[in-house]
Amino acid sequence: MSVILEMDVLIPWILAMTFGVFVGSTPGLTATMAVALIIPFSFQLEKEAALAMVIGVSFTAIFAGDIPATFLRIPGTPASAAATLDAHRLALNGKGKQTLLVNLLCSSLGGILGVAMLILIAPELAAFALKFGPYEYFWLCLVGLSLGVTVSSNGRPMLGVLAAVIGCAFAYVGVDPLTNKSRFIFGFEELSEGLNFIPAMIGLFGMSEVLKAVVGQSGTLSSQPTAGPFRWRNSVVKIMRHFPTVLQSVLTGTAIGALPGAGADIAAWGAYGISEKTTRNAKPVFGEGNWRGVIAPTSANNSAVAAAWIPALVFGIPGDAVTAIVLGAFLVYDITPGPALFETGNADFIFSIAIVTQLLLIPAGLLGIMIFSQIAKLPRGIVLTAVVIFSVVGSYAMNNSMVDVWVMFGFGLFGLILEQHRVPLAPLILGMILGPKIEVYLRTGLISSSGDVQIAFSSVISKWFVLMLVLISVYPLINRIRTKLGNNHDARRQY
Amino acid sequence: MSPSEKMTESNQSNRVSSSQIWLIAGCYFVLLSFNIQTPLTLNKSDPGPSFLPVICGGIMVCGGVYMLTVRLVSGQQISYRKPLSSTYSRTMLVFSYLVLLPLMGFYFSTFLFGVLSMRQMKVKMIPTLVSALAVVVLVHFVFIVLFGIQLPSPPNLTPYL
Repeated sequence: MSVILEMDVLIPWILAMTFGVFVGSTPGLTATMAVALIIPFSFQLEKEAALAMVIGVSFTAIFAGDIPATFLRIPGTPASAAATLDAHRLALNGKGKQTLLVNLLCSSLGGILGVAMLILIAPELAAFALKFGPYEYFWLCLVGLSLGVTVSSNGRPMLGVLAAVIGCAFAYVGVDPLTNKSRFIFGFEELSEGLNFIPAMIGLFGMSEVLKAVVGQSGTLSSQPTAGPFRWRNSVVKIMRHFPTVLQSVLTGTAIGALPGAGADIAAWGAYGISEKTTRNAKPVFGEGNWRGVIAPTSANNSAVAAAWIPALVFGIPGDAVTAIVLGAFLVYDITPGPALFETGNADFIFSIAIVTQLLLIPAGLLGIMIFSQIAKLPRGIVLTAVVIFSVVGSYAMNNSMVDVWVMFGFGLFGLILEQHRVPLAPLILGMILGPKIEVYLRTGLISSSGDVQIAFSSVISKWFVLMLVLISVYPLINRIRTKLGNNHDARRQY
Repeated sequence: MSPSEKMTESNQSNRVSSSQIWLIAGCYFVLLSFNIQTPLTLNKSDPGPSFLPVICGGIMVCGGVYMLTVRLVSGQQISYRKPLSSTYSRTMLVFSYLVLLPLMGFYFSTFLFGVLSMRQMKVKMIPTLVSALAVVVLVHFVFIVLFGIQLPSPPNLTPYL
């Protein structure tokens, strides 16, 4: 532990985390890219400093994605998409800095609790995760999609379902992963690898916002995000008041993050959905600037990053792309994942780094918030133009291809049209994330069970997920009946 | 009130309704899905690459039918926000930028777009020129110097001159 607190470890560590904030908050640059870019620098340093840098960046970039999500409505990473709805609305109400402070503290807290769970129950949780077969993953994804649709549909479930279906349809563009047959590419070979998710997200949330922005005579927007003060005391009180939501979201994030391939984005949406379902009479409603809508996804996504280490450290199975790159870095320093890791003391060393990283996240994150809030003070004409340029360059940078730029622009226009018809955008993004997974797990399950559908319902885990799916589907109906009965009851009392 | 909410509610009578759009989109998607080739070596238990796309198209059709039915029975329809003229001009400006980007290269087209876009959004001339230049320099530093990403450059016309 004392080794990691020496200056020659701490300085590169903090610099790397600042780099993570910078990359994560730039639209088009992902957490995976941040970790991949820091590795060549880390090889020049001692093992302790190198691993601290790599682990530090992997946690920081996820939080940093929330910064442009709050100020510009552009999620920096897919894991930030769930927090965008309420965080941007709060920024429009003049609480930009406070929203990000709450976000930062919850990310740090979620990360610490996630790492604590990693230390306590890693082997048990990993063994549970291994019980998941294709059908269990299929049901999990379907539950996640249903939960996300009911929560983010702004009271229009039919339009939410249709938006999610369109998202799934877009996700099926490209070569089918199981048969290698092209689908919906219309002769454009560039689309064979499918529509890139990042440009689509930038277009839907960022470009559509720029295109529809109303600029007044003074060059300012009629409604624009404001940084405002941090309000430290008020923010801490808010987190304490919603501490059950933090705990609930950390548990959700850990459970989902521990499943290989599930990832922080699904964890954030899952926590957001559960928080909405367990909150009675939320005011303002979720999506309109509710603090729980910020606290739940941000606590969950960082704890999911920690939990993704469970299968990685115990079995050497990376939970997501970031963990896969970090595992590669471990191997360079002769740290081999597996049960032996816990006997040699290397696991304790990694856990120590992960815990201190969560604490260092606060100063690194504050620096990012302060720099970004200065940008928010500029005239909106300048900011919106810069957003377009960064969106274009960020999309181009994904594959050095203009196709991704046109995809981004196309999704921007599509988002604009959908919003004009009051179709919620969040379910569409969720459909794009989960659509391919739903298809692959369902078809893999059918192949492995020789087409026997009954096996999809046979395991205890599957049964639980099916029960949850039924409850999620029936809940809006019950809610509507309850509201109608309540109205009738009030009407009778009046007379 | 958000900017989008400030947009005017348009007259609904002279417009193709949302339900019809969903219906048409759904039918088109189902047709496209049926045209996906099924490989000869497909596993017997695999429903194939067109299975879920057909289901998605089917849900879109069902959604369109449901919305049409609701509209005909109750006369209700989801209201529509008409876009402002500034949305059209900004869309055209961004479109022109994307067309010019590979032709003129990143530096010139981005500076030109920056100036025109900021002027359109009523930023004064001097701040416009300074900001457009600053954004180009910033993008150059971050993407080209720091990350080594190659941005679009103008085509080399020397052999043709």
